[in-house]
Amino acid sequence: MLASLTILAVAEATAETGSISELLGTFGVDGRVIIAQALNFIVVAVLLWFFAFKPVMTTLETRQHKIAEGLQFAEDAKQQLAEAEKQKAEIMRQANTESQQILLTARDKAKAFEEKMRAETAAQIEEMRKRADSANEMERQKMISEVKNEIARLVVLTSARVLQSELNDDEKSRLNQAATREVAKLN
Amino acid sequence: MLDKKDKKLADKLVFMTLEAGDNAVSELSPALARVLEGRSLGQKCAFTRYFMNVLQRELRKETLVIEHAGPFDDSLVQPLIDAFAAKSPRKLRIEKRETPELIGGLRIRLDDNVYDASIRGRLATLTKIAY
Repeated sequence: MLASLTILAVAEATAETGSISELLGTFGVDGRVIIAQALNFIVVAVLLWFFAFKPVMTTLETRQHKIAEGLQFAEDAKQQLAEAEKQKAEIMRQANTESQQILLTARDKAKAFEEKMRAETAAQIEEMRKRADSANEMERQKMISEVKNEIARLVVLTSARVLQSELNDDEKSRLNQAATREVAKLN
Repeated sequence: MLDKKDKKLADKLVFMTLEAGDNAVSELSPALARVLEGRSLGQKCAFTRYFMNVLQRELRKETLVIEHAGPFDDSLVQPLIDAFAAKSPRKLRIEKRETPELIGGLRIRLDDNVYDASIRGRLATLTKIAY
């Protein structure tokens, strides 16, 4: 830029004193050289573009892309981790709920089983008690019956002996008469 | 074993014996001897045994057995004969037996029927009821 300004300043000064070409010649400026330099510059620029700048840019883009992918991956991993944590928490919550439910159910079942066993035991005890009562009652009735029978037998035996020894002939005769009337009446 | 013919003959002899009453021995002995004539000893025994069995059975039907304890007045016999006359086809025979174990009262037997009006019988009934 500074060089251009210098050239312009020289050109203006030259214009004041002579033609431009002379001025340029004075300063050693040659149009062909400038064109050749421009071409050289362009060639160098193209070469640099294709063999230096572009690969670097490509590498940068690749790295940028990889970094972006890494970041995205990290973000995804973070989200997945959060999701996993959430699922874990949900699973834990469900497991806790289910375990509580299982515990309650098991407790209820145990309680019901205990009640059932208690009722069955009570029923069995009651049944045994009833059987024992029944057996006792039967035994008692049997004893009473035996005692009654024995008493009746003794009473009859005693009565027979007493009557046999106490009845005199007159009484026996009267009994015979009464029996005769009774038998005659039957027929 | 007797055949049917001999059994009928024995039944007829029993009937005739019962009809003859007290004269049975004199009237039917010749007839019985004639029936047994010519038979073997075994046949005679079988016929006689059958005859006696039937006779005893028939006699039981017309024998009124009166068992009593203590004195039994003969005046009591007639009412009993009157009461049981209808149950026998012939005139009833009376057989009295003293049975002290009756204690008092009567036990009367005609054929297979027993009428118990004794103290012992009443006590036995009482015992059965109590049992």
